[in-house]
Amino acid sequence: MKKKIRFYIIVLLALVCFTTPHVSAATGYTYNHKSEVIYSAEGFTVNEMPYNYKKLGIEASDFSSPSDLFVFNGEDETLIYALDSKSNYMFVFDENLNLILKTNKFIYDADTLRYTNDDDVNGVQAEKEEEPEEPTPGETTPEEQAPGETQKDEDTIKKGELYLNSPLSIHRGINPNADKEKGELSDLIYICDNGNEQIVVIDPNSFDEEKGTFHVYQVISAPEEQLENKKFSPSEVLSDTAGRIYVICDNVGEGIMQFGKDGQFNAYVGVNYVTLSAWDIFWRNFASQAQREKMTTYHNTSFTDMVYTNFMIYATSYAITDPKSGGITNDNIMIKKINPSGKDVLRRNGYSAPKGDAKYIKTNDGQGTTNPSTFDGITVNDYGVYTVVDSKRGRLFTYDNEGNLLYISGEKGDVYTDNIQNPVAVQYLGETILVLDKYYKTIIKFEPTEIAKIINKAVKEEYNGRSIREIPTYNKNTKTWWIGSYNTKITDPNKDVTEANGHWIIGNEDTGIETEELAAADYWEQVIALNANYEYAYVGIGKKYNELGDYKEAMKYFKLGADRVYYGKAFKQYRDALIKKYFSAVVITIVVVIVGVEVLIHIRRKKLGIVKEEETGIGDE
Amino acid sequence: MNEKMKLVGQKIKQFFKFVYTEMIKFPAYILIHPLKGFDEFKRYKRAKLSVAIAFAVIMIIVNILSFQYNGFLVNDNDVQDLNTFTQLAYVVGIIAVVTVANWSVTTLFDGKGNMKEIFMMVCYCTYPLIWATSIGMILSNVLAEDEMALYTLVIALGAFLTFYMFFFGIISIHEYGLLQCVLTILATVIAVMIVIFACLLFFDLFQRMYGFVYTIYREITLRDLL
Repeated sequence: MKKKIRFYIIVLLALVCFTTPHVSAATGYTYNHKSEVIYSAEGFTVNEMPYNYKKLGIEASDFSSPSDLFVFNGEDETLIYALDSKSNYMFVFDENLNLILKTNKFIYDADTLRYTNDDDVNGVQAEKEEEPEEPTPGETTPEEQAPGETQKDEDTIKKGELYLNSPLSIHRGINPNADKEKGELSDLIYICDNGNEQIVVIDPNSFDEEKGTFHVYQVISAPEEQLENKKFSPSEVLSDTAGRIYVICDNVGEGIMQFGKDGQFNAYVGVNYVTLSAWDIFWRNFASQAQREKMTTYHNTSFTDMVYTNFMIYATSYAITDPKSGGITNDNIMIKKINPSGKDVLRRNGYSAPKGDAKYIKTNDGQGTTNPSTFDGITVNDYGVYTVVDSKRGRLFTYDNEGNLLYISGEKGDVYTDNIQNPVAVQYLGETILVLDKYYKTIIKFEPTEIAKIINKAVKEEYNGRSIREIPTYNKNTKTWWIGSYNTKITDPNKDVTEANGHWIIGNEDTGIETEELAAADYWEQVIALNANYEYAYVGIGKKYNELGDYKEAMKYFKLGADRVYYGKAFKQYRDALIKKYFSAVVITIVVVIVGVEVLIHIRRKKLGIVKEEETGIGDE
Repeated sequence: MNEKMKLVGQKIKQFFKFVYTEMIKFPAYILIHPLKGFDEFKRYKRAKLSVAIAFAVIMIIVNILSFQYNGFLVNDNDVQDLNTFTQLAYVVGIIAVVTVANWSVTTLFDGKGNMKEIFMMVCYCTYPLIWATSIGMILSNVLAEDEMALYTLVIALGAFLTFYMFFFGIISIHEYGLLQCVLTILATVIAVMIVIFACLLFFDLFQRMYGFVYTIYREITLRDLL
């Protein structure tokens, strides 16, 4: 009996010991330096119910197929624009997502249009026949007419209302270089009017109270020469600070189409250039012309989203696949940062290139949740941190300016509020992120978690070049602690120095050093306190010790952060210091030892030699 | 008592002398004078099985040490991933496969060496590699990133010398000419591939068999639960 009880106790204990804690689905993860999945805190959480039509204050039928979201950070207001591709409405919200206005038509006047051939404009209805419920774009439009052909007068309506037809993208851009004397506007809204095969540019400051809508400023029509009878179906649009317009077309694989501000096609940007391997070149030498034509080296780029910040376009595309087998050939250039001359300059200095999920199952058919992430949205904040949304697995990946993965959040599903099913747009609104989900027809507001807030602060300080706090200097004359640098022209330290001279007084004799603003390394230390597995933070702390000259400590942190470049630098400093310190001592010791041994041998030999001499002497005698 | 101590001392002295002459001096002699060295190796039976096995063991130990103690700049191994058995199997496996492959090829190509000699020769060939790995281990902890070319040089030199010894070993042991030796080495490489392929095939079959039996076992146990 006793034995039995003991047995049960042991079994029970064993059961308790082998119980693994259940991990809930909401637990976040991240990738370590070896691209292995490790548990980590999520970067964004949803703290309130997603904004559906009710919460947004609009009709359900008006918000049945939301297609884009754009946050405009103006000088004195933040506006959120949204589009619906079924009801064709454009919504404008304030920063708290309260509806300001909605409209699906724009006042069209051919006489005031700029840079537009009004023959090519689609979707215009004369003011008389007002049927806002059912816009019929095909009827009144001269769709399939070449620009050179003569046109019947009654087909072109000079004045009326332009109805959108399944708009897919909206962008409001400011062009400070606009020629105001010529009547160009510097602030414009661009809408991809996909169904009408054109881009409608409207003036955001021309709100007509009576009609509750805006004036059309310009219409950009299909570039016939480039498309070669293909349909012009713009899906993303943006404009840069020079007023140039960039358009992603669904059926154009060459790259992003760039238009001048006059609506004329300029060039393709963000092109994937074909790189041949040595093996390919070797085989090409033997291939005949016909064979060479069959060799598909054309790498298709289908861009999905783009955003414009600080003179750079951040664009996402799908991974490059082998056209024959369908296998993935390159997943490292799914995110691109395109500079004004059209080259990709994204920094990829992280543990792995920014590509969403670093580990995945590779298949050739690409069905289900295999193969790399498919990004359908990207957004950048004002210190270089960008977030991409993966529609395949419903996740948000956030990277910093250097390409380090900061955090992963969200999950596909239909259980939790932070589930994303079919994201079509993602936008930063300050520190929070708005995701437009086409499946749920909601705007989901993601707010940064505690750790993400600290990480953001650290990244921001690093972006601004403040990786560590400055070491204050004590001024004996003024009895103050100061940081910064004295203006070299000020020779008298008693003179009152201001901040303009790059000099900050941060304390005096009585108060001591008053707290200075925290720098990146201080925030990284806070991050480590919250999550010791956050590897990249160790690099930040290591940089601090590296700058303070404590190279041994720096090496320790760089090793923890698996950063070989910085480790190598710190190691060299550390080793050189050691050599400097001990070189003379070691050399002197070696010299002394060698000389000592020599002397000892000499003495011994002399002794032996004397003996030998004596012996030989005896022999001689 | 005193005499016993003396005897032990003598034994230790003898041991170190043996280690020096057989494990350091003689392989170095082979490296410098490969033809003469391997002549002594085979004809005068200077090679010893104990030394050969000792080389294999040292190689395993050095491999394990370098896994853990190579400098961080060249070492991306995680100590937690260190598996001594894998390291052991790695060295023993390569030596065994090369020996068997070479023996099976040279018996066809009229080689004069027997299995024991080939095994000893392969083990002796690890001599430069052992030195290179050990020196590399020290260097990688001393050198900075831009000086790591030196480390690469040492490792490459070790690999090259190992191959160099192997090449002359085959010439001497099987009493081959130059061309025949090259052909034999190529054939050995192919034989190695065949051996590995056979091993993989065997493991795969075994795994399938195991999987099949395991599935049946699970099927039965699960049914019993119902």
